Amino acid sequence: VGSLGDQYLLEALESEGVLRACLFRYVRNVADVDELLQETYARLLVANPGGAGEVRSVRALALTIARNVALDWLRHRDVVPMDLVSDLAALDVLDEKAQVEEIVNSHQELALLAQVVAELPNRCRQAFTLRRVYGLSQREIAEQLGISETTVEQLLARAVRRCAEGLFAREVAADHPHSMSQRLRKRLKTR
Amino acid sequence: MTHAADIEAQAAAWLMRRDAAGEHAEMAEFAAWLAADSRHRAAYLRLAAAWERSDRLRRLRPEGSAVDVDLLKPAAVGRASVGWRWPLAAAASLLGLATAAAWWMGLLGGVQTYRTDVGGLSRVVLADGSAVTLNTDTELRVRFGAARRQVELLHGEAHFTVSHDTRRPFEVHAGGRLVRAVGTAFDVRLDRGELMEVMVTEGRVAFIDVSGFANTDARAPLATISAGETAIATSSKLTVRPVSATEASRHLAWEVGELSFQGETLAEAVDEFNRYNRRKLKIEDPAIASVQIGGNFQALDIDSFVGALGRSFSITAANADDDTVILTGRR
Repeated sequence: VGSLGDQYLLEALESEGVLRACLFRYVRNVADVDELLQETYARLLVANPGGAGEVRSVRALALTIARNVALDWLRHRDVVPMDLVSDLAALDVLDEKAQVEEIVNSHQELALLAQVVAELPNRCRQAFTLRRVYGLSQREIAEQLGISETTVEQLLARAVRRCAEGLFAREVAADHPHSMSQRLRKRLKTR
Repeated sequence: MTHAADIEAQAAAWLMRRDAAGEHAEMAEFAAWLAADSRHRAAYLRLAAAWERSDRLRRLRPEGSAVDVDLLKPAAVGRASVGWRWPLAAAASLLGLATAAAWWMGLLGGVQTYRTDVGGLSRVVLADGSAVTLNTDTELRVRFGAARRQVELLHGEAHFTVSHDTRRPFEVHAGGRLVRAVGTAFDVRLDRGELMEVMVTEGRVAFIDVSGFANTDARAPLATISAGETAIATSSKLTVRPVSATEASRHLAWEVGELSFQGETLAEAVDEFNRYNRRKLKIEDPAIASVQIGGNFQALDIDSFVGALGRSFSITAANADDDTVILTGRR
């Protein structure tokens, strides 16, 4: 860990909500967004924008890559969604506007984490609480909960995935009445 | 093509295996898996970052109490905020969910004083629903009237999330200046009763110099500070400048009990730590005062900070007495 690509990726995680919203516009399907997001991150890791110089905005770079990934994906589709064109016009709105909301959100992270943990399945929540709040080792957790170490490993694995989802995939721009995220939410509900 | 969910599951399994067995276990297999597909590496880095951040949860551990596996369990289904155990409720109040306190506080009327000791951190919800987080060594007086909501910051630092009320502006008085808001969020810090910093995270506020004036309404604002900007006022000068997202979140790290440095000098970092702790750090050796520091630290955990200084800069610490830690460069 420590290469430039890794740094880009870690920084881009802060904009994951925006990246997801951007990808969703093209693909209209949450499962596909997951695929394309991973591909976006993978390309970001090996990105080499203009040689050795440093990138001015990792967020902008990640958004550009996301769009390219989405366009590649669309090229392999037979049917392109009808309302895609009108949404593309609004695309750039996302780029800088969501910034302020993200500032506010970042210091609410502890509350966010506590909420994620509270919503985990019972055993999963207990194992994660013992590991992260109390700092017990996986072996100690296995003893305390009377389960195997393999099970503890699996429970924690599930918990960390939910944490990543809670921390990075969060909604953006909650204050913008016409924000993409809210439109997305509506769309998801009407499905 | 492997699906994203499968890759993520593999990444999570690797992360937890390494958490259990150490970073050197099965190194060759792990390296091979990482190198097989850059999506593997991406998924692993993402989960590792989440795992690292979840370390913050340690702060929810109640001091001196026994291990409770159900510490973060929500109490009853369907009554989300009622009956939660305290750490979760405390965390939830950070999100602005706790408003119950507002009711009885409103009944008291008059002037209400809020105070934190050195190292303290406190969150209160005022009668109008506005939320205030008090940083270390801070004192506030709150008086709500029909025409205005007034808060006096006597010393220290506080972050305000003001509930919207156009008829009653929300005013924070500090060191002869006044910050006026209608509905917004901002941070006010008063240093040595003189240097004042206002950082706005939402909406905008008016900055007014009221020293020596009785009628605060008659004074025109010196400046309007908008979201994403910070204003620093000395006795003679007011500077307003934009702050980046990263800088803003570093500035507000104190709300979760952290100090975040990025290129500050050791002297500045020591001043920050000394705001939070009765045990003071002291730089004996001028040569190390300008060393630049980076990283996130728990504000109350001097020892970890000192440990990091030792590892990164060969700076040694010695306890002069119970209350003083002397820092010197290693020769």
